[in-house]
Amino acid sequence: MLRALDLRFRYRDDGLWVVDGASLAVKPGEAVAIMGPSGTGKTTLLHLLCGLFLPVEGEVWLQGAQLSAFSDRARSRIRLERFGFVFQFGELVPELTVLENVALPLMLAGRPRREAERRARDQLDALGVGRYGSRRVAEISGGEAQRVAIARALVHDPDVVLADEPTGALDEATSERVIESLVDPTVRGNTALVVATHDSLVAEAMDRVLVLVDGMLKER
Amino acid sequence: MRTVRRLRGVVGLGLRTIRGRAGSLGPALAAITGIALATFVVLALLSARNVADGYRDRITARSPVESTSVADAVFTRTVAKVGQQMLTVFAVAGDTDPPPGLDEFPRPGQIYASPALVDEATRNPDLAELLTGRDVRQIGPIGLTDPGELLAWVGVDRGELVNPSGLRGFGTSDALPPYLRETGWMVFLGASAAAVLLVPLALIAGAAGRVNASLRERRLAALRVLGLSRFRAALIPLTELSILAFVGASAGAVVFGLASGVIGDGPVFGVSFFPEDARLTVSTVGSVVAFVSLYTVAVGFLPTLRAVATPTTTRPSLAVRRARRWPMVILVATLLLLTLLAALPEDWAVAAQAGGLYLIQLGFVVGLVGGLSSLVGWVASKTARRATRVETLLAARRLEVDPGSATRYLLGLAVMLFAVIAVGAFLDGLSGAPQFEAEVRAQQYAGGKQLVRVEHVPPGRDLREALGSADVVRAVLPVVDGYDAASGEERSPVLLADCPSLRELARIDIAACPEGPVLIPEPEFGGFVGPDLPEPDPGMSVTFQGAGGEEVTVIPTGFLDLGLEPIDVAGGMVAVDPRAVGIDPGDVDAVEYIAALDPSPEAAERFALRLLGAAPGSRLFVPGEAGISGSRELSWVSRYLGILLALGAVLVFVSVAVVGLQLTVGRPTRALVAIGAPTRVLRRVEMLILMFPAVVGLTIAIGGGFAMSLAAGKTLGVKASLGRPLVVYVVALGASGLLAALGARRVTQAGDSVFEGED
Repeated sequence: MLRALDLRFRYRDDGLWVVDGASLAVKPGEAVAIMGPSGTGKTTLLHLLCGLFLPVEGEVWLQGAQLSAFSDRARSRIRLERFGFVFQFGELVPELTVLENVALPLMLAGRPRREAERRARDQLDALGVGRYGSRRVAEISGGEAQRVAIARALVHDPDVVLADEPTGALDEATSERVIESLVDPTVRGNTALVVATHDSLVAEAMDRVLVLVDGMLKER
Repeated sequence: MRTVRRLRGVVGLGLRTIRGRAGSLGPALAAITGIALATFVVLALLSARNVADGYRDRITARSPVESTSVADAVFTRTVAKVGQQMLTVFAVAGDTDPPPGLDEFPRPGQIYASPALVDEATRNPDLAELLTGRDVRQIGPIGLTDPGELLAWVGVDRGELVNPSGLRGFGTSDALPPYLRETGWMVFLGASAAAVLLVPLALIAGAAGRVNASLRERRLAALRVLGLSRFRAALIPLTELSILAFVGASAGAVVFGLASGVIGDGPVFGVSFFPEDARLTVSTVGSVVAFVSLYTVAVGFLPTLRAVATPTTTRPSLAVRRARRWPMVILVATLLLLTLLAALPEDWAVAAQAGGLYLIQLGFVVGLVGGLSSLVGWVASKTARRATRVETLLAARRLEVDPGSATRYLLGLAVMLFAVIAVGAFLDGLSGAPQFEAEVRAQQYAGGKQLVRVEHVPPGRDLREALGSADVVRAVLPVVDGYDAASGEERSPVLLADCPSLRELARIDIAACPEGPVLIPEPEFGGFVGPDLPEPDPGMSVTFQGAGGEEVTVIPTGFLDLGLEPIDVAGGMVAVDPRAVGIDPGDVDAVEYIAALDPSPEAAERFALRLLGAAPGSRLFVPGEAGISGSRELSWVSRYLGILLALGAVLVFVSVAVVGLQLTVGRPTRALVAIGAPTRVLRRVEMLILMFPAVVGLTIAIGGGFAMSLAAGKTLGVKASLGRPLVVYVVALGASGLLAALGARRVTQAGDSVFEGED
């Protein structure tokens, strides 16, 4: 489903290679962890996988289509419809309610607000945070916010979910609940999951664990 | 002592942070520019007030004091238009002390003219008639209102003055024109100018304080952790603000001084004044610099304190803050009050205002500044609930949470617009008010001609040739006194005119004139000709003195309606064909003429100048010309105010917008970009965030401004007009759109770069 071949990337022409020959293949329903210490380029790799950044060298393929062949606008559309994102701090839109945050990808894709909110409500209920729908992001806890972020990532049935340190700001008990919320629906829904993390608890819940070392991915 | 030492430490820290702030010079420069501009405008306003005072004093000093008893000297005053300017001619006779600026009291044949008049006469042959054949001397500056004034004192024989007034000296305010005596409109304009100026200055100060605090929030936070109180932490950005305020105010004063030196005695944007009138003392300039500096610091203190407590960049992550209700209540209440006053009948409105209008105006401005963002937040909240489009939802929710950031862009503009609309609509109305009526009324041209009446003395002097030679004059007909031969009592005046001449006067078609003398009926019969009119009294006869001094008696034989206005002819005037009674009209001792002119203001203007040249002591009646005296000053006031408003607009745009834009850099668009929100959506959201408050704020501002001008107009008998101010509204909305587009572009450009440099 998602395939990356010999990716190389650096931020400036004369800078160091942050990603240097990384390759990866993820199947539908498979959960993969990318581990590595801070500053090794895990987040940059996720941005390359979703087409937010274009690699200097190498290719990213999603279901037979090469991402770099598309315009920026088309890649935005692909991100919107085929990917789901979970960030370390949720990165929910603070001024929207929880329900509106989850409905956002659907509304951005052109779905009517009523339909988008109905599906968002279902997704929130499925993850056990339905009662927070009318609250603002600042009015819920970090763990709840992360589960809302997962609901937002899954509401539009994406092909791939990318998660960047989803438990980085949470305690152990909350982390377990968040991992469960993240892994179960993706695997059940036949969605590929790629998680960048340095948390071994997260890594243990994945099907495969890759380690990013010197810009390259290696099996652990 | 310890406290002083602590404060010195904090101030020193502030000074050091200024020295090391290479990356944040933009807002500082913008703040300095804004404060300098504000200082410049304050000084210009004070200078303008000085000019107005000097203008009034100069008119007072040279105005003749009228005497009711027999006096050594007499005078008449005539006002005529020369292009867009006003010419004042005092015709004087007798002997007394000279008015200011003259070496001696003018003798017959002498004329004291202002330098501008002498200069203008070289270009205007009609005006040159006034100087031709007379001993021309110049009036000194002390006798003029301004270097561009057209003024003349003409010496004549006492017998050449029509209804002269006795002259008892000079120096009275009784002769001040209505617009200088009734100063209510000046207070209104001054209050509006102050609103234009002080509110943006407060916004600049507040924004500068917030930016200063926000730019170094981490450093301030660290200092607070180390034990610095919120007050003392706020002193650091406040020290910077004080320095910015002082530097800005001083720069404004310096620029004003330089501009004054460059301008010298030349007119500024067509406004002419003596430089000594405009000059400000060093202490005044110093006081203004001190006031602007202190005002800036005072109004910037609270926002700075608040910014230290909750730095701007952290605000969006907070929950929705409950909007403060009271400024919104003031805003809505004052808007309703203004609307009510504008809608009330005139008498009620004047009674209801009773001086409270300016208090309401102040309340509206306070409400606008304090309550607009709350109102925008409230409207945004309602909109968000019903929004079906994602752009509207995102924009409305952002405004609901943080209406201040976006509204600040518009707030200065809204206050500005309120003042512009209030003043603009008022001035538009003012130009049509009786005390300022500048334009000749259109109806005087009905029938394709205009009629003027001339009274002159002594009898026998023939003006026909002098006046008739102008190509704008169609006919000049003499009017002589008619009386009853038996009793010697005054009867109807006699107009010497044959049928073709009467056709020149008539505003309606005359098919045929009756044979012999005719009686022109009272004006109220206008529109009816022929048998419906009453018959003349068969016993009536009118006698007048013929060309050779012989008595000529005529009996009216028919009626003729010329459709004339009362000012053109006296009712019941007898028209006599001079050939029928064997008279040469050129030889008659006429003391009054009626002239038919081409239908244009220029024709009346040229005729008046020729008349002044030939007989300066005569009186001219031109329908519709009653109020020309204020037109020049009104255009000055409009122009000067326009300049001030434009400066205020620049002040708002340059400072608040630039400082405000600085606040939005790095807003969290990260999540939206990452999940694939299209660029056009982001751009629309940013545009909506700016346009939404623009539509709400500017509409309230224009509504308030127009209601204010209507209400103020009722007190002063002026009917405000919404025409041109509406153009300002559209321009303001356009400017907001431009700002919005710029802001949206910044977000678009931010794009992927918000992710650079991450893990």
